[in-house]
Amino acid sequence: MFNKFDFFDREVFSGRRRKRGFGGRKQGKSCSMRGKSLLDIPVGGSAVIRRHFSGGAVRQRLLDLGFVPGRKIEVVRVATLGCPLELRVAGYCVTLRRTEAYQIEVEDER
Amino acid sequence: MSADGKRMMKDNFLIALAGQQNAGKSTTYNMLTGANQHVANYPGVTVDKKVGSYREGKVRYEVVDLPGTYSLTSFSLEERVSREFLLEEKPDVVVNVMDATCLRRSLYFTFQVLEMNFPVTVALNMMDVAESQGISVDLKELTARLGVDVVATVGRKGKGKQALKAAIRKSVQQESYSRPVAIDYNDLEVHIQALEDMLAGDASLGVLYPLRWLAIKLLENDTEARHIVETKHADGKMIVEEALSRRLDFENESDVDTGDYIVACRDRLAGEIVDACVSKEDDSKQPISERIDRWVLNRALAPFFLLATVYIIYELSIVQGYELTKYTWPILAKFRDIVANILPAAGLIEDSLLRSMALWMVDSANTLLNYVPIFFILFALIAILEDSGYMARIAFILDRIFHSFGLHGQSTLPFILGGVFAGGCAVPGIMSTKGIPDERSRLATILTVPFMNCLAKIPLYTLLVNIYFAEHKSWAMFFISTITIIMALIIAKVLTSTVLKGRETAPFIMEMPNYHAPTMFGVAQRSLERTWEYIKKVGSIVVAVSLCVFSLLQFPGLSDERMDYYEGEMSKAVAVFDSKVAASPYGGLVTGDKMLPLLNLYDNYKRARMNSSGREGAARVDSSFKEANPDLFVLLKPRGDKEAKVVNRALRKLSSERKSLRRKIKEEKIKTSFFGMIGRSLEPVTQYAGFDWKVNIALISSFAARESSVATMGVLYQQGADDNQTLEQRMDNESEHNGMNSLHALAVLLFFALYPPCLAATIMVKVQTGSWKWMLFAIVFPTAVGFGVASTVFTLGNAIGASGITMMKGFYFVAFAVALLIALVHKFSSDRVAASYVYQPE
Repeated sequence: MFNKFDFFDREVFSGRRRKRGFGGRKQGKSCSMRGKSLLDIPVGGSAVIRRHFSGGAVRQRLLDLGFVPGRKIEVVRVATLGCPLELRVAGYCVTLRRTEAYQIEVEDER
Repeated sequence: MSADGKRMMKDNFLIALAGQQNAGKSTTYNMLTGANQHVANYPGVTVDKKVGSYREGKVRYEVVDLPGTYSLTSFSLEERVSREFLLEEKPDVVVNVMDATCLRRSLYFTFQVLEMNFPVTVALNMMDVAESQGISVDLKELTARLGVDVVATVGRKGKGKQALKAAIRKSVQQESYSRPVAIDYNDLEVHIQALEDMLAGDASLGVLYPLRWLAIKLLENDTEARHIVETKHADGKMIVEEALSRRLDFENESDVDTGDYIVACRDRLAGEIVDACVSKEDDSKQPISERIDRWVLNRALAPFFLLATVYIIYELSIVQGYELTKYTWPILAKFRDIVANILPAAGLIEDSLLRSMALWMVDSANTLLNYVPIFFILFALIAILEDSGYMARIAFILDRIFHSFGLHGQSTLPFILGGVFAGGCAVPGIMSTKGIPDERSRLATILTVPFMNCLAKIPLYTLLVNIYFAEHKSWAMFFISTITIIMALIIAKVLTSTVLKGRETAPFIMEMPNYHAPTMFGVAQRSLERTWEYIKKVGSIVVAVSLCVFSLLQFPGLSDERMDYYEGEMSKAVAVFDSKVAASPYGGLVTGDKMLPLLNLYDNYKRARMNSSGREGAARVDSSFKEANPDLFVLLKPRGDKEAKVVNRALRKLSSERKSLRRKIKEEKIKTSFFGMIGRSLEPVTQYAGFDWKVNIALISSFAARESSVATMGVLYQQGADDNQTLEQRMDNESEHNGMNSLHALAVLLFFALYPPCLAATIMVKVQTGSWKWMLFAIVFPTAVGFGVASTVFTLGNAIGASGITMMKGFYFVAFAVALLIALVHKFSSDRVAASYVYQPE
């Protein structure tokens, strides 16, 4: 088995790793095509997830945690320095950084 | 023999315990296996492998606790390890631990295990928490819907243990399974079926892997699955191509990502099951965790709660724990005495190699064991923080700061354990980096935790501060306790943007757990476990290394002429002693062969009296010595006996003469030892930082264990020790005539703060990174940085003629400014990225 931490043998892992990108939706989609992101929801407000713009592991983890398109999502609070956000989805709370949050497109609840 | 027959014959079953993080997997594991367990690593990776077993009659059940994962994809190391284990080892039963409070998400995991065609037993854990939240689960309905056994458990209280064992028994003995739930992928089914048929073309593959699962994974574009098919199937490449084209076809047709679609199908089924089985009392009151968090995580108040917590940890573990060592130290001292008594008796001016070596090792072990009470309290508090759920909140509060320096919110725990302000140990600190999901930050944390102020660094700090910065004591202590964290952050940034740049990072996606009341048992168990790990790992390594240091200090030893000289000096002293006591009636008892045993007895008595406390203790020492040596005791403590007094006085003189000779020998030995040679040969380089050979030796020997720095200095600076001067005074005296000043001290302080981790911590780096190269790096890099900083400060200070305290302030200012700059640059750049995505409605 490969050794995860052997940075001197970088190609063992990262080479294979990098190709994995197209697991998700094509990255770097033009920004102008985007609608509201999670960052546009005020603290205490809520919205419905429309789609993800992240890829690979991030996307998978978000889906695992229940960030499935169509679900209602609520912004509970932000940390003191404004960075990680606490979100409530499907009855429990998950924290995300702003860099991940703006890759989740949302729409207003109907 | 039929398959059934085989099952009946088998008396050793493999059970895999799988589930999501925070579902109570570990408590369930403990409940099943009790004390019968051990921790190892999965081959080749640094992920914990917990293995335990229990018996039912003749049948043995071996339980393997898989790493907690949210799903079984191949994105994270834990997931790959879990999945590989399931595929390779093919356990007889997979016990899936589910969190009853978030059933819907837990089902998502269950589906994946079921899809892999494993016999599954579900342990529905945390039923008590669910009840308290007004959630009730219809177990019968859930069992029927899933098609597998569901057992309700409360792992923390050990409820449901028998039922779970019964379900496992039933599951392994069962001849055929009721068909478990199957997920309907609607529009994708055509593609899945087609791929499955293609995969079935190679018969051998179907034996090894469930084909439907492989087909779904191919459509999900899972790397490992692709790899399996490509290598193990004759037409592998073709099938993978086919899967890819089908995937694209589907996406073009429906405008949905295939992965999303698969997840949505599973989610829909989970939703249906949850709707059918779970009923929730409709209460509008807020859950208790939310009500606590409204205060504790309040944007303005959070930092204060955090500071208070850190302060309480510091106060309870370091301050109060230190009080405890007053009770434990006598035990360790007694242990040393016992060892000393077993060993061959001390020689006149030179001990036998065995004796000095054994005592040296005991001493080094004792200094480390002395911290055990402190660590126990520290680990217990940390376990409470983790179990209660506040640790995750600390990560939440601090993530932004840490992230600016390339670290992760979860680096907080390692830093706290390493001793943010004062006291701690890098060993448990490095151990606790295991939980950080982001590999780049994880390595950066491992490499910077040793900069924290561990307990063993404190003695040297206090020593130097007391001598050279006595007037600015509080400022100097403040400097030391904060400069290390500032430097650690800066260095973390440097590392993550250079050597670690190519490493994987992971985003900060963390589930915020609900608050739990920690259980006594859980906390005690965890803190005992970690303390034991400390004793074991550190104990063995430090003892081994202290042996090396000992040999380096001991050899090549003194030349014969020098030894002859010292022996001559000693015989002179003995002759004086003999002449003094010759006339006394005790003369026959104390001369010739009897002199040395008496001298040793005298020294032992003195030491025992010194270690005894209070009048009672002293009386006890007296009576025990009197009992053991009825004839000689009067010479140790002459009461009114004039003759004995004379002997006693001569004895005291002889003893102190012997001590001073021994010290001189020791000093000369160190000077001429291999270590001394190294220290001297380094002088040409270290002069730029203002270190002389004595400091060099002290710093080098502190690599074995930090405490030895002060101990070594104590041996090296012993002019005046006979006059009962403290080491502070002695160093002060000596430094006056060799020109050491506060600037030198500052250079030593800085070097000591940035110096490589001690040996035990370096070994821990090896264990946690799984690579010798990293370990080497962890030694070389900080040495270079530390020496660079120390020489710069020293040389610059010398050039501009600034005093130590001025340079200290200047250095602090510069370091702080650099750290601030890094944080601000990070903030601006991340704000700019975020700003480019700002949503502008029409």
